[in-house]
Amino acid sequence: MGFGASISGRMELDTDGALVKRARDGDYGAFEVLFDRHRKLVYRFAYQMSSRRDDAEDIVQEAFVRAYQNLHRYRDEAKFTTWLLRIVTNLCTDQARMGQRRMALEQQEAAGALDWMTIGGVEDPVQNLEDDRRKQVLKRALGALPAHHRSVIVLRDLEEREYPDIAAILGCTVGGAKLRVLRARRALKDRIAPLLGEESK
Amino acid sequence: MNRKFEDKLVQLAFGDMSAEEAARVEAEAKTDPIAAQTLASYRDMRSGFSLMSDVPEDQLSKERLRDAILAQGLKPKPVPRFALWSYAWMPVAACAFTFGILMVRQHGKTSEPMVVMGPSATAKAFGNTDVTKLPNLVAMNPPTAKSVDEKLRSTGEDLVDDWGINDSAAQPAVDRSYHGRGGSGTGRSGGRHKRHEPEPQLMANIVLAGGVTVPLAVSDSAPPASAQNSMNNSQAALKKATAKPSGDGPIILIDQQQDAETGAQRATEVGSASNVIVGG
Repeated sequence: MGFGASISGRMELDTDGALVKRARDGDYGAFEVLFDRHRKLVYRFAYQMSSRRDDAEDIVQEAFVRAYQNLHRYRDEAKFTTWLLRIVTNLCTDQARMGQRRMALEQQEAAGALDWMTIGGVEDPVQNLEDDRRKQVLKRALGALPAHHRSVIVLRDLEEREYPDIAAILGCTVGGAKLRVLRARRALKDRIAPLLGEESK
Repeated sequence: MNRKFEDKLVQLAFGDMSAEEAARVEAEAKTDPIAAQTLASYRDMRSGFSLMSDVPEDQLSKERLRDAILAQGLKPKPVPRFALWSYAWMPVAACAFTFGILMVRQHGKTSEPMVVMGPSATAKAFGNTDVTKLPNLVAMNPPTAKSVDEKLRSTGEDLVDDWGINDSAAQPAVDRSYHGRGGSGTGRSGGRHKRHEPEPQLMANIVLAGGVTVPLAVSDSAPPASAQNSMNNSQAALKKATAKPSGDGPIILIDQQQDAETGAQRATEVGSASNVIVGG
């Protein structure tokens, strides 16, 4: 028992590269350590992209399955998380493109109507309501964006990743990543404006 | 407000700008109400992102992942090494197809000229010239019918070369004999003739107006120097006569062998040059 725990503890201290190497050699436990280490990060990103928990979970699971099956393609010079997020980005884009995702708007709105009472850091219910309204508008606008715009907004403005990291995930230059973020923000603003108009009416 | 300035406002609102430039752009935006409003909307958008940071707990588990991986096979997929090579046949096939098209076209061009003229065309070309006295039409040892037949089975190009009617194709053979180059012909034609050197020289007859038959051949022996000019003239006349394929007259091939019954030379009338090549 103690021996197993020491092995597990040692694996958790290992770098991603070392764990990937072990997983490549057939050590499935090493891949599980990678899963435990990065699943939150991947799930957050997938949730921001899809806005639904079950969709996000499916995406994360599929991303890890693909990562495991394609471990031999992972190049050690890139960060494992960057490679993983690239897989997730592609999955989210594919999912949005194929239209497999079904937006349960009624459910979301029903759930959102109660959010201001149940969730919120501020004691003031009016402030909570206003924050929730803004959040819903942003979510709708973000969901209406094309996947390539949405992914850069999530990476930069929600996950707060650095531009070189975004460039590596998207497979472009840093300048290209900055330009994409700029365009995505402008597109998002254009989407928000009419939604705010609807809300005020 | 132009687009470039709006980009600056976006960078200012999201903090992607140095402090000095940010101060300058902000001061500039204050003077323009539309710019100020745009800047405010971008800042509002940024603050709204902070509200979206809360993410519900996931229900992912190692067991679920393991099941998913096992469902698709635990072993990682091998690299399909043949994947790239499986497409290699495409450029090869394209090259082969193009080469085939070019070869067919080239073959069609070279086999196009008429090998033997009809009487009317030849008479027109020579006019009143007594072709029997042309100095370059030197009678050679007549080939046997078998050797002619073998030659006719080969390509039309070779036929033209060996009969010496196509002047450009026969040029290396003429050069070799007349100028003593010793068979060091250059270019395609030279090389082709070099291959045929061991074969006996061929001869064909041209049927002219009035039933005159002219033996036509290229000789390895040099002609007399005095005959050089008239020989060139007659070659030019022959070339002119054979340059345009005559579609009006028949093509007649005359063998050197005599017919056993009549004692006359055998003659075969064919419809086109393709018949000559295929069947003689």
